[in-house]
Amino acid sequence: MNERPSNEEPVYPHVRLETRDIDDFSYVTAEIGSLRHSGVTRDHTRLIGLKKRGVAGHPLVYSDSYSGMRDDLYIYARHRVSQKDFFSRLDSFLEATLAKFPELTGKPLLFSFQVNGEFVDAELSLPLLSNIELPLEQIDFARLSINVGDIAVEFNSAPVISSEETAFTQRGALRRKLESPLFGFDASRSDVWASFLAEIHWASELISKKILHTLIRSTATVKA
Amino acid sequence: MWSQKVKAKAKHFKGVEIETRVIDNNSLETITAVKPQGAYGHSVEIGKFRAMWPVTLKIGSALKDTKQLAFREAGTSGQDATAWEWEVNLFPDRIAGEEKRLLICASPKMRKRDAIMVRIDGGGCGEDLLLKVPIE
Repeated sequence: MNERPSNEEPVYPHVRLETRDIDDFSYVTAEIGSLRHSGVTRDHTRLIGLKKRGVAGHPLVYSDSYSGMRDDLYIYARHRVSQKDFFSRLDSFLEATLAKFPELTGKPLLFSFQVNGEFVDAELSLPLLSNIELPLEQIDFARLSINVGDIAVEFNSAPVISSEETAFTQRGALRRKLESPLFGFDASRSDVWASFLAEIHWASELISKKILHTLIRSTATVKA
Repeated sequence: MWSQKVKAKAKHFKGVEIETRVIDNNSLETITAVKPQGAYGHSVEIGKFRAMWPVTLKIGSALKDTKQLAFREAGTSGQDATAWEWEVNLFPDRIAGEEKRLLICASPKMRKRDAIMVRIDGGGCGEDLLLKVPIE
């Protein structure tokens, strides 16, 4: 489902914009500071593709930093994988990554799966694909709690795609509506998940993994 | 006779549990029926948001009329209403909490049951929940 902009659509005004390049790839960094809702202060950053066909006007990466009791940073983007593909790739990623964190080796992985609105908690070991007891296609949402940074993923039957984000930035605004399905990670302590997101990212067949990885990591520090 | 509690849970919102109930005003327990001349509560409760991105939800609760059941703002003796709304922002790892309205059951009994229609929209998703409320 491709979401076209309308004049009535809710937006964030007063966006700071800066055009940047990595090698020959151009993108715009859009940043809004100090959004206040329900007692929470949030800074939002969004990278939007420019020029390149299939990518121009599309949001590439979102990030939010929250200030308050905890200074949290979350990075997220739309992914392109099914449940089976996701957990298969996660198996490979965790197998390689956990070896670098001896304190995590051999410990169960704490998952929350959501099926039909209900959460089911599970302690799993690798490989996930053979240890998850739920039918994979019924999983609507999953979260892994792990001390290198939690991850969350949602699965949709029909993706929500936003292809005209520059129509908003040209008016100095950002559309509030996010793409989906999303994968996100807690980047407050580490950006170890950036390469995994680059692998499952919706544009991973359009942009080199190296550039995507750099873009994702940059949202942890970028200030337009 | 076995009676069903007046509650319903959303199935389509990802990363969060959303439940709506009719509750006893004192014990806050979910009730199975209301009585004429009784005062109850209608609640919408949102658990911890486990996603990594924000979502804004608009939750509208509506009755078809106020002939039997009616909403009233807690702590007021104001006019009965057929609807109330709650717009709530969900953020990672935060609990959105609960929002309630007083639910008045008028006397005399005019129906065997009434219904509260709850519509939830947000995050590209929409869902209708129906609370069927037996009148004793």
